Amino acid sequence: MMPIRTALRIMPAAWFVLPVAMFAGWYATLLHSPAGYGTAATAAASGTIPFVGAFVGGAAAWEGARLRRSGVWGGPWVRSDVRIAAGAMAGPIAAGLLAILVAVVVSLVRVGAFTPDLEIVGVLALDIFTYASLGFALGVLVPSALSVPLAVLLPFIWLAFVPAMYPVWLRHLTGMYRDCCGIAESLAPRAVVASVAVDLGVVAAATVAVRVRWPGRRRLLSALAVLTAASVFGVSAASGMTYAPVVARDPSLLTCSTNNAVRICLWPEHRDQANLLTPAIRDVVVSWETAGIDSPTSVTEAWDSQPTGTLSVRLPDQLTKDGVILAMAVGMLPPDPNCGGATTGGIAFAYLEAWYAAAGGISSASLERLDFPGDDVNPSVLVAVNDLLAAPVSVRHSWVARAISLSQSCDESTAPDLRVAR
Amino acid sequence: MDTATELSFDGVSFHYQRRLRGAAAQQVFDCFKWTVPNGRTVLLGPNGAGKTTLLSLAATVLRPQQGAVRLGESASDRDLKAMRESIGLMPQRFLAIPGFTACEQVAYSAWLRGTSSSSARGQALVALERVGLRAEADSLVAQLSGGQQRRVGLAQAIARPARVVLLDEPTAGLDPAQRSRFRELLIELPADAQVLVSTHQVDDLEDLFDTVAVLHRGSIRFQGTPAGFLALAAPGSLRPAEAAYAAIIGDEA
Repeated sequence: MMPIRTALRIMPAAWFVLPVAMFAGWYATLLHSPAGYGTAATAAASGTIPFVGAFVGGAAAWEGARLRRSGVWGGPWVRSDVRIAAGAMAGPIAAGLLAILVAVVVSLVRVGAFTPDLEIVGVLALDIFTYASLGFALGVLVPSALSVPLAVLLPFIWLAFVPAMYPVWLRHLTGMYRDCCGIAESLAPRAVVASVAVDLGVVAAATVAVRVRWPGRRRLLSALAVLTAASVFGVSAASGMTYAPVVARDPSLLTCSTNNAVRICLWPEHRDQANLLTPAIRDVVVSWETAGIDSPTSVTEAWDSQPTGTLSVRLPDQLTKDGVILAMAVGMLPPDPNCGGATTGGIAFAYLEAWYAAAGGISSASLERLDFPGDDVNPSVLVAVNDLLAAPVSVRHSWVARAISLSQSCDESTAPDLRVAR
Repeated sequence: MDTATELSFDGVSFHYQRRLRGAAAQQVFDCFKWTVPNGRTVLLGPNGAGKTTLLSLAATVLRPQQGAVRLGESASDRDLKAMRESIGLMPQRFLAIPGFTACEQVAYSAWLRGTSSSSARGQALVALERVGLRAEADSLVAQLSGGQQRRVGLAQAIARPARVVLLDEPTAGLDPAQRSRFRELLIELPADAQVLVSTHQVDDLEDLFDTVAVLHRGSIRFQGTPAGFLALAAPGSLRPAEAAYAAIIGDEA
């Protein structure tokens, strides 16, 4: 095993680990995740893998090339190939893990979360090991003038381009989970299975490829077979998923309380703000009731299918009273009509949102931010909302029913009429 | 020496794989049998006789397609680890590990051969002392002269106690003073180790070696004492070793 002093002196992994770790930490500050949610923050940190993976791959290729050029690899040693490879890859792997750790810590601290998602951390560690294995194999097999650039570029290309390709679920093979997670989501096990399968396939293929005592053709075919099998398995796991590697979060984590007949369920990240949120949510429900709106009996942060009378909300990162009202107003909107394109009735969503927000007691300043000018048929949003506030409940009911109906229409040509009857 | 520790070739066949489709495989050994004598043995033979292949097979760098190389109870087709623990090899071509100092290279080599990480540096320093490179222990191997690098290679072979020491052209590229130093080193090697040296240098055979073996075209053409070998030279030869060698190989070389 290489002494640490030697490693620090000769390994590129040691020379560059600090700048790479600092870059990873800085880059992690650019990646968004919901406040306080450790899983999302850890997943966001996986966005640094293209850079860290390329660094680890290049550094491991350098070490593989060192063993190749000195005739160590494939020599008649007592130590097993695994021990020799582990000794050479330890530096790049340690450097990669440090960089990822910095990114995860920065990402967590930035959103005020303290518990990383260990499953994602595990996958990231496997990613690092995979790129180290790939780089090492290239270093052992190919002259360093070629292996190092290849080992830098391949992870970067894989991680930067595959997530931009169609079908969108291809990105889940990479082990980069930047699109995970909203606060009501957790990482999809299928995405984990897909990326772990591909990672293990690459590691196995690299392991086969460096068995220099095997004939070259046998190595090539075996490596390809292993890689193909792993890829097929990974594809079958990820196939059909959306762009986001998420599933609904375990609802048993919700903390529910009943306040003035309104049941309110919050995720653990918002438990500390229950004193602000609970009365704010209750006030909106009461205001809606006063305005004649069919109010929910239960408000929850869970997004999966909920029973009738339950409102699902996505609370914003900055928990203000207006933010809560807006989140609830959005939660009241009907689902998208799934027409396959823009519709003229889609404009109704904006009017409905503004109406629910206004009826919920949003400040005039926030309401004005929802305004936009009317057209030949419709008044501006603010005018329509003011008309509704002045109208009797029956008019409001009929207007809301019409607006909802229009929002679900797939009509692409007829301008909808959202004027409030007087 | 206990005969149970002897290095032997038991019906070894070996050919190099064809590099090009259609090219004939190069058969080096065909059912080769030889028990390496105890003590210090010099292996002579013309270029291409198979000396390096023989040492590579003995060191398990190469594996026989048939038969086995045996060392006592161990054999190359099983107990590979036990064999490797007992053999020290100085290959014909020394390769520096980029970035390593002489001490690091010898220590790493010792670790590869089974020495613990904590003992490797100590063994390396002792070996470098023996080959006269203690002062260069912290010099980068790549910056040492060719002769010094050969001595680092020798230090690698002897850093860890071995039952068999294989030296492939150890004096190639050394100047006369370094060759002289090497001869001293050879004599200093533990008496209970089997030493097999492949070389073209035929000076001082009687002083250095217990046995002379001549390999040619995949078989041992001569094996005997240095005196017996030199006796093959025509009387009055100015260079008896070369004359004896020529008498064995004849026009076949």
